[in-house]
Amino acid sequence: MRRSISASLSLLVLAASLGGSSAVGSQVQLNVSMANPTLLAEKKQTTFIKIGLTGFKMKSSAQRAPVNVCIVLDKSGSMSGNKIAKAKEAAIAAIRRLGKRDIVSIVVYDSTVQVVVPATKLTDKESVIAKIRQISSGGSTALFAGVSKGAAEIRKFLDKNRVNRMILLSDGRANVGPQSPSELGDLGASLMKEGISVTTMGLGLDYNEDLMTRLAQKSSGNHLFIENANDLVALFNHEFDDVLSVVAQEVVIDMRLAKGIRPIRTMNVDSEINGQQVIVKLNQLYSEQEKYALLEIEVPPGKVGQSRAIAEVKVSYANMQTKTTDRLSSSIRVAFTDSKAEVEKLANVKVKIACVLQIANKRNELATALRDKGDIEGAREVLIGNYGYLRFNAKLYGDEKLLGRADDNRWQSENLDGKNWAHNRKRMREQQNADLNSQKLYKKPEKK
Amino acid sequence: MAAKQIIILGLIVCLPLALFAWLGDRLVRQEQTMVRQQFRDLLADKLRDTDRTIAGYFTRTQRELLDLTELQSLDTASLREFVRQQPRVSQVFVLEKDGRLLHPPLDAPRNASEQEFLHRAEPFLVDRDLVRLTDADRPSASGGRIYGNSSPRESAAADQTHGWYVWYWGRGLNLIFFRRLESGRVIGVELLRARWMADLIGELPQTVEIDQAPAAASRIQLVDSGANVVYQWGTVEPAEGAEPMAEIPLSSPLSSWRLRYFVDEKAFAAGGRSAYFNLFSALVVAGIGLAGLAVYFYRESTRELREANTRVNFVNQVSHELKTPLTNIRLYADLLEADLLALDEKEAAGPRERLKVIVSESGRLSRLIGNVLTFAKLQRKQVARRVKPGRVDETIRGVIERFEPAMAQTGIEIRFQAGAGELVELDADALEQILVNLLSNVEKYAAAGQSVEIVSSHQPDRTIITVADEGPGIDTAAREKVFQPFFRLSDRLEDTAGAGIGLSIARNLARLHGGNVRLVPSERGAKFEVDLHTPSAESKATP
Repeated sequence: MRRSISASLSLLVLAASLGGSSAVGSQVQLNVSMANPTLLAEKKQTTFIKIGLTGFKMKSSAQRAPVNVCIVLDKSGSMSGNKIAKAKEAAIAAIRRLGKRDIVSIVVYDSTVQVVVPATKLTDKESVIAKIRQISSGGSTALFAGVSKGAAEIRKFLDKNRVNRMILLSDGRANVGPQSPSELGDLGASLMKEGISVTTMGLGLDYNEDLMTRLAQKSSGNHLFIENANDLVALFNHEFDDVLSVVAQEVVIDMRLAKGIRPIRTMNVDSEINGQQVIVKLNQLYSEQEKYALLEIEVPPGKVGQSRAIAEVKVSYANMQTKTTDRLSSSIRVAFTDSKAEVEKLANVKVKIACVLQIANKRNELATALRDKGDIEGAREVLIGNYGYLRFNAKLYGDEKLLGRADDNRWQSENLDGKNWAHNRKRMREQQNADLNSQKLYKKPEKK
Repeated sequence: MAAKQIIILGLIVCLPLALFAWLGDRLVRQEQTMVRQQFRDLLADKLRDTDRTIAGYFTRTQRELLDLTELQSLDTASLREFVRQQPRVSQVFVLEKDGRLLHPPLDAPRNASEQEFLHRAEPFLVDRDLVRLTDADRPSASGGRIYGNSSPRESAAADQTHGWYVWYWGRGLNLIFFRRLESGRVIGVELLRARWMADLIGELPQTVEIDQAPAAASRIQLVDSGANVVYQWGTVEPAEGAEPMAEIPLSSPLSSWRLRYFVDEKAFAAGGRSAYFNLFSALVVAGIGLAGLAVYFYRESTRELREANTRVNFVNQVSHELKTPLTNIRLYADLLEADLLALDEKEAAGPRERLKVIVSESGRLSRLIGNVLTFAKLQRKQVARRVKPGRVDETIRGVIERFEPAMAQTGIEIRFQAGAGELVELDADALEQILVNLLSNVEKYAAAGQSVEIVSSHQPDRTIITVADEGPGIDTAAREKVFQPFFRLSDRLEDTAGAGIGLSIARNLARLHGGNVRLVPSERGAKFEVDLHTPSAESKATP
């Protein structure tokens, strides 16, 4: 009896479309669930809510949303040779995948900025490609200016019905103009408000991964660490797979927590917590990919058998297929029991896995911070602890991804000093950002 | 002499040239300074255009913010929605008429961003700078600055309805747009620093590489209060620590920021180089002209000398031609003298007297010819030294003997005080010629003194001979000049009886033999001192 009540209360609340006419198949799927839909009674405790959004399947690539993409290339002296050649090749390959409805601009920067191709509809592919071919390298790194000019180009055709994306490639540290991670992060956050995401690609071992991840993270873009310039074409393609499969954007999650439920923090995304209100913005949802926000809350003690409202969730997003603003809503409740076993039994494995992943991610960030302070032993301890934690949970829930992360953490713990550190730190930052952002990292096919 | 003349002529050429060069350099420099200044002004004008672009951006932003802050309600939810929607906005706040903070709420939960804002904005919120907008004269305690735009009278800021509030925090200058609402409330919008910088960069030009003339190449930098480059464009890469050609501060609200204009110093210096090239060409032309003038003067001044040289050459050649017949004349005169001895005393007396004159005059003539030939040889440095053991006094006596008849005729008494009888290494021919020249002069110019005294003395390795007459003497001014060739104390025709080379020959010969001929001071007449290097011949002969 109790079980059936709990089960029914913890049921995923069906997403209701307010769009009206649009078919169910082309709706984003909202999935609000708790790590433990049933909690132990008589105890104040914290738990997690996962608000998952899964992009619907794009029917065909012909129906994809047009993009407004700006490729911003670092052409400073350090890029010369194979790097710039591969970057041009990658950009050309990307341009070839775009169509006449798309808008493209190319910006290059060294000590100064040049808009090689101002934002334009891609009616004449070959002339754009010819201009890319002329790019040559030399000079310093005015990264902020490059991003600023790139944003200005995108803004010329800013349109809610297009996927607005900047792709920034850099192999060095910004040394002209604003150059702190916080300034680039602020700029990213501002672009995010306009619906522009910045995907940052760090090439080689000399770029500032903090700056690049911050910019990507704050603008809800991807970040990629590219060790070898020869992988550029494949990685550009991987990135464009994302760009060309956007089914929804300007996603706003507006959550009202019930009275007495205290929001603590969002684990993986930036949020605005105004008392009982939690607002999370996601820029883009890709076809058949889930992005989620994980919120930690504090639930006051409940009585056995009691059921309690936790939150009302409203989601609005721009449907790129129907070109309408669609709304979804859901609500969630929690039940209380006195049986520990029951709590465990009814736990939501998927949410649990997400929690483990995000908690491990936070600890991974802590390890990076410790290592930055020079505390190699401390960092190693955290990573080895993380390895054990991930491995234990991977076995418990039978999850491959967690197992993979466990191995990653172990490898990282073994490469905290010496020549591998620079490389390792970039991998860590990439991984951290990817997990926060539910980004699928590119895996080289021949690896393994 | 020639060296001195060349120095003087060199100075004649170089001094004016140096003066021209100096003046020219000053002129070019002045010109360049002027051109540079004009250029700077031009560049500053260009920078002011850029400044207007930037000011335009802020004016536009202000206008947009005025529209945006036409909020229907100032409740917390709407204000939060405003912050969420506006990409340029970092945070927003509302002050009650009495300065009390309405938003972010102090009595309700605030989000992290609002919390951070309150923390960083505390100085000016507590100080209530923005409430005291009326007091524009008073510097604000929090270091912020207010720029009002709506009021024509800056001091009467009470009328100000909106404007910029500049405040330094974190990485530097931050901007807050404030607006006084009709209700008396003040709404403030903190702009996202990174965003307005990015927007400015979007407004400003990019670097254009193609179709740009090298002369037009430049680099313009926008630098913040800490002199860090925020944005730059143009192809010129200024050297480390290079000074900008022009620099201006920006208009408000970014008045602590500056714009800098760099140009390619090399291209600019090329203009200066062409001015210097012109100056150099002018100097070359002037130099050639002056050198021509100098050469002309030099030729004029040496013409006399050259003419005299020609004369000497001519005489030299003639003398050679005269030498043989003269030798024959002297030979036959001697034969004739021997013949006359055989004749009757009475009969021969007359012809013997005449013959004596012939012999004496031909002797004089042969001395003259000898002098000319020696002079020519000295000029060509062809005189060889013929040193043999001999006695100075013997040579002196020989010369006196030869002069005795002529001197007797002019009534000059020769006194000789011998003191150099040692056997020494000596070029007797040269000594003879020196003495002949000195005695000829006495004969020619000091006959009035009626006496000449020759004194010889020997010192180890040296012999000193003085020849002193009691004639008119030589002016102190002419003491050295008499040794110059062709110099004569008087150019009066009746006074001349020589080419004016005798003393020059005497001195040159003496110098050739490690000695000298000097005019030494004396109470009366002229006193010449011959100083010869005469190492002892005995020590050499008996090793």
